[in-house]
Amino acid sequence: MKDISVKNYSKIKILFITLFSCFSFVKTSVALPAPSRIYLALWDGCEDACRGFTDYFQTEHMNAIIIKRDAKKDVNKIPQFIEEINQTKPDLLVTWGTMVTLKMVGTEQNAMSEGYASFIPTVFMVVSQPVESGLVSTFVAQGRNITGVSQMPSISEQLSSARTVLPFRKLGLIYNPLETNSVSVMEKIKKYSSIMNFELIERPIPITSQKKPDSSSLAGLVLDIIDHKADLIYLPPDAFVNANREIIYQTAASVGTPIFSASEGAVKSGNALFSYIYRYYTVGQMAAKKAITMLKTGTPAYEIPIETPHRGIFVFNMQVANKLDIYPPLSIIPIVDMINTEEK
Amino acid sequence: MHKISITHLPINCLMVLLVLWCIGSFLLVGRTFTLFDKAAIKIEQEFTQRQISNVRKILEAEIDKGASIGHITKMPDLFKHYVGESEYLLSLFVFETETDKIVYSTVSEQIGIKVPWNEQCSMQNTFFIDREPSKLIIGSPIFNSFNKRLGCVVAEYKTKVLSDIRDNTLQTAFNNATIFCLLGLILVSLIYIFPYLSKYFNISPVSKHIYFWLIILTISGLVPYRANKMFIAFEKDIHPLISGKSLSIAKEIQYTVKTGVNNGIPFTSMNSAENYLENIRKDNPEILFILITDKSGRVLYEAGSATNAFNSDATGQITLKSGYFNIAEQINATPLSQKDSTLAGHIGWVQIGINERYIREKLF
Repeated sequence: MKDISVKNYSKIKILFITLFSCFSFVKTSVALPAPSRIYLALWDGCEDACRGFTDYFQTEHMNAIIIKRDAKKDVNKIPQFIEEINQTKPDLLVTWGTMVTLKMVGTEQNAMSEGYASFIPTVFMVVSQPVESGLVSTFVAQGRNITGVSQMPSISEQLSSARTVLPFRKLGLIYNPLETNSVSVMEKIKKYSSIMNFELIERPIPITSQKKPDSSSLAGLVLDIIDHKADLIYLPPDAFVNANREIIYQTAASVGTPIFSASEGAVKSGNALFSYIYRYYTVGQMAAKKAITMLKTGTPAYEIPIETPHRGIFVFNMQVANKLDIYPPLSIIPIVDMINTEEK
Repeated sequence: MHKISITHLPINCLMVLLVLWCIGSFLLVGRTFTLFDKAAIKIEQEFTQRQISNVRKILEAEIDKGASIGHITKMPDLFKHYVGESEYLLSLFVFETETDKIVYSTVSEQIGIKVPWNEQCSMQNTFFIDREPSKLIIGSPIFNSFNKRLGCVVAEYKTKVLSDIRDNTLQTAFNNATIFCLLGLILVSLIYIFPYLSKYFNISPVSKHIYFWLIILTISGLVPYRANKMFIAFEKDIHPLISGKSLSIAKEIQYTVKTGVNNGIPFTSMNSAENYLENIRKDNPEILFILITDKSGRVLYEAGSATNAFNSDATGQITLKSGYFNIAEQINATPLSQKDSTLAGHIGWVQIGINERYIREKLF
């Protein structure tokens, strides 16, 4: 009896070892795939869109390594990013802003030239005008391995939203004729002025002999617009105008003319009255959704359309509203983001 | 040619007339019942769906501003405001799509509970309806601004109140049809026995005709009187629904005004207030006027014809005309100059005048 039980014990031992070996083999062969590597090129730190992007990856439990690189507003750092991408070959490139995107992957025309990381699938975010900037020629079937999310509502949406608040008849616009974005916005607004039945009072900023826009003429341009009885001034997504926006605010505020801004920053930290925007956090989340689709399903970027969020929000600077005595209409109050609501 | 007089109609002819009268009565009352029943269902739908879509829109806006569905700071105040003292609403809650669990509810015991409506609550800008023996459950999905479904806002309503209203209108319909039939029976009986009565009391032919037509006219006059009574009874039956819906609209306006004032908008400088009120009035045919007044009752914003709804007597006393009723909700807000929210003060009123007879007016 004793011999038999010893024999059985050995058999069980062999069986156990065999099963264990099989299990180890299976375990090794079904091990989790390596995490995807995403190269995130930023312009000025990890702000709202970047947070939206990384948060979305976390909530979707996506196995990925996000390599963040910050240019700290220095264009000269971008070639180093491209060099790093060439060496490390990440699975996906994500870019923040028009400047970084154009410097990293080039325009549609020059993408094939050297010095761009255009071989890698790319998702951009916070590019206000992907077509006008030359990045792609259309939002759908864009013809290059790039997709992304624009943060600017269409001009028609912006104008009709502005009209909800202030039924303007005359709209003032100051733009930099050297900035493509700005000129393109001016042309679009001009087109809509006849459809929406308002008069556009547009004033290009004069160019100095050094081929630079002349900031000293801004106050005069604003006064000229006000002389022409503009009900509202539109602040375009123009880097020069935004850098000098304080002069525009002060001049407009002195006669009580409100400002509608295409970007949130001018309402949040400036003195523009209101804006109709898509939140950067949402833009980041939406870009992350596209990135995950590409990584999970292998869908090429050109098959994923470039989009904007489907719903915008009104942002109101309540301090300016109090000064001008212009408030959001009652019908939209529950959904407006009223900021700078300090004691009067 | 033999002349046929109404007082000498044969009995079988009178019986046919009576049967036709009763059929007509039941048909007309039935038609009126259907009209009121349809109106009641419509009011119930508008009332519940308006409430849910308002809450949903505000939550979606908060999500667009950057809040996550489980951490919307406005939620307790918003929900408390909407539930208020409603006798229909059992609970109002939000569940998360990812976990199916309730993340916030007006009934604290419901928080954390799993719910079975994930699949039903999925179509954007639509409502799902589920019925339990004592509850009507209506929900609508919450989407973020890139169309990802995050959760669902759900309201549970008492069905008893609604079924009671239907029972009452049904009872009113039956009672009134029977009364109309009885009126017909009395009329036919009088026509039949009138020749015998006139013979018995020996009335002259001229007086006989006068008496006969007086009786006919009196009884015929009872028909419109009774019809008016019937409409009043139907209107009384659906009064709780109309008043519940109007109260919910008043609360919606009150919340909007309060949010504006709390964020620094002066109560007297509300932009496009009259357009906003007018659009609400147009969407709800029973509403005659909407007023926003200050706390002393001075009208600041007005939509509709409030003056036409009132009567004033010789003493200058003002009362609402018959068929109209009024709902008033107090607006409490904390203007920014008064930072302590516990000091929320009474700043004014929302008043809604309702034409209870709007269904009847639609019929004629």
